[in-house]
Amino acid sequence: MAHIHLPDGAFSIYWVVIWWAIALVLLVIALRSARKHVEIRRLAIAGMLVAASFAVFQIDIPFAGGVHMNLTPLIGILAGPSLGALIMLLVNILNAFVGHGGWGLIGANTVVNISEVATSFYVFTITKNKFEIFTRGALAAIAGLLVGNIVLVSIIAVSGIQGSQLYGGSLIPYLTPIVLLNLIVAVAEAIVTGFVVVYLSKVRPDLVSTL
Amino acid sequence: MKKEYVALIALLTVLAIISIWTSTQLSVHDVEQHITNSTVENSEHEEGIIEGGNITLYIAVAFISIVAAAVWYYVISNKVR
Repeated sequence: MAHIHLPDGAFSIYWVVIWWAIALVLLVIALRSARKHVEIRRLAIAGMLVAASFAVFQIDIPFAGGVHMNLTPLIGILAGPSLGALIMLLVNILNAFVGHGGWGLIGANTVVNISEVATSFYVFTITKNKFEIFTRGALAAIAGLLVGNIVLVSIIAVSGIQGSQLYGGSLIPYLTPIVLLNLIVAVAEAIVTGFVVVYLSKVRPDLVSTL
Repeated sequence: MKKEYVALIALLTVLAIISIWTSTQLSVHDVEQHITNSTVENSEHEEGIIEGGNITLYIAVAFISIVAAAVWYYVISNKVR
């Protein structure tokens, strides 16, 4: 859901490099963690999640000018934060290929999506034994996507937009409606995530490691 | 119905109402216009978006078909555990 759709050139090269650097640090940490903790069979799931997420990214929901889902909560729950981070890098690269977000924004978008994946995973994990699986999935989705949107707004506010009169804190009042508009996607993703997790927990509980 | 489901439905309903109300006030494009100027907007059409009609939709449909088949096979298959 949270995805910076600005074209290349919106961020200065300085901020493009910074967000790429932060994303790479997170990805290195994720890769090291994945090598230790991720089972080989999860790579098959990761491949399918990349394809599914990329496909869902392209489906425009005709609401408030166009929004889309991205399945990051489901990715966090099924693949975990480390593998999920690598998945989101690939999804963002594929998106740049079709002009969905600039090449220079892959770093920033990966940071946003990693925050969603990680938040969803940890919310789903800490609510274990407290709620039913559907509720856990839905709450993980809502929390993850809210955090992702806050990170998105923060990144744009911190970076500023080249050529725009607005900068820093003055951007926030204009960006806040994006968070509110995206709530409808959070609702949709919460329902989808809840049903998918419930279904998988019944037919293939071994796929949901955080059950 | 369990209390947690009632609370969840209430939460989702409130979030949806907030979002729908916001959408009556402005759209995503309005926000983009506010935060960018004409220079950035013009460059979006020239270099940010691939022109070519529904090609992205076709790609999405193809991917969804492949993924749906793959997921279905993976879920029902007992070969990988």
